[in-house]
Amino acid sequence: MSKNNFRTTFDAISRRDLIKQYLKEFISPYIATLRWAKEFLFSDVTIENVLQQVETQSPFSAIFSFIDEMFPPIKSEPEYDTDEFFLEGENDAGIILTHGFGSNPSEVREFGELLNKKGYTVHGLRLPGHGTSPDHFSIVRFEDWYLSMKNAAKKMNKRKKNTILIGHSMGGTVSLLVSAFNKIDALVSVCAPIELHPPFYPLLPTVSHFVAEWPRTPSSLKRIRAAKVKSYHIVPLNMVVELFALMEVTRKYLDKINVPALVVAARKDKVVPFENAERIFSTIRSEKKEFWVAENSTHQVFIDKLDVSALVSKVDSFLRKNVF
Amino acid sequence: MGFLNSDSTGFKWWVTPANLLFISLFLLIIDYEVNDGSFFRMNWSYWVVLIIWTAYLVKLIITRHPRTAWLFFPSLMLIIAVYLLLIDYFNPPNNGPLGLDFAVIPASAVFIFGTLIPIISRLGYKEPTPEERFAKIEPLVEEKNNE
Repeated sequence: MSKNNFRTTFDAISRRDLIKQYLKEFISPYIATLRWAKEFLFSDVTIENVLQQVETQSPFSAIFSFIDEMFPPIKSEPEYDTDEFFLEGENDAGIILTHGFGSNPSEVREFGELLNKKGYTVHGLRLPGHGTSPDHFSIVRFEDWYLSMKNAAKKMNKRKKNTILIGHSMGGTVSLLVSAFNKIDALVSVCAPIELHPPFYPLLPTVSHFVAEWPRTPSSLKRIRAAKVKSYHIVPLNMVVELFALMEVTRKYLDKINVPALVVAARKDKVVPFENAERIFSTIRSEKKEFWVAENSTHQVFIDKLDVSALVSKVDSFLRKNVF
Repeated sequence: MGFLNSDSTGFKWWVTPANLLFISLFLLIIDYEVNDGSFFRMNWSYWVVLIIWTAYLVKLIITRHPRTAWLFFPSLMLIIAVYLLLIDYFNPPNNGPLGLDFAVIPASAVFIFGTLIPIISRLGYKEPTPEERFAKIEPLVEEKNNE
């Protein structure tokens, strides 16, 4: 199967669209003023029409072309070894396997291969903005992550009888949200966050306007690179805001989930508190649900690799018991 | 001569500002005249320098801090307002309040309509909540909420 047939990510943002996005950011105070004036005067003019007019006028389109030439595009093509993967299996179940925040499919590839050996078809999904460049990462929104997984699940539904979502960390949170609204046969969330309380969080949306990115700690980078997983060395702060928006929405629809679910937590997880998994387990409406603890792992379950083979066995037995 | 090949991987962050600094200095030096009577003792070079650094700033904002881009034009308007006041202040007859003549009205218009009102409107603009954003892409939200 060719790569493009299963690609579902929303990375194909054209340079022209990016420039438009930036220019809109530049003139956003004036757009806000116009919006305010419109509300104040009850005018029928829509801001979108005015912007569209401006974009299509020839002197402005010439300026856009000039800017296209001046500024290099944001790198939105994936690295070869961080690209998503698709492993065909012989049974009727297809798994969408998703990585965590700032990571990429290479993190979960080994886990995917072990599941594939058990007979499952595995699609290692790369969420938008991941595995490309931090600049690209900083312009996606949580809706892109949701739509990307939803599309992948739709495609898997057409190929296979059963579609299963497995997500690590933020990928797990997206999986929870997708399974609340779409036809999914089972769900496995691994260390998925739904409520975090980092210090100074209330200030983060404001701070992220002025401090664009924050470096990752050297120790966590060292551990990730030792596992030969390519990951961003910085975290765009506005993406942390997006992650919190995702968690807020997921919390609201947690009690709408009624598919068989395996909730996994890691005993030594210092990133996502244990209570998150307990709360997910107690809130979802699924009749068939199980709780499993990776006793030896930290948050990076697939990088630590201490509980991966046990997790594969657990996932396999859970799916055979509740899905087939 | 590897650095002349087209497969260069780019430059350190300080190359561009350092080069622009020396280009600007060069332009200012060749334009400088001791007793020509102009305010800066220069005729044209400061405009070129201003344009060069503004273009660099815009590029920096776009490539490094796109989320701060909204401050650019209001800041520019503030600078223009101050510039108008300075021109007025250093040119006679200086008969008005605070020694100003023509610049009071245009500078206050630029400052109020170009800086203050846009910043207030931008800061006070209510962003849609995560739930409202999600409802726009997921048609089943209403149905689920009514369950």
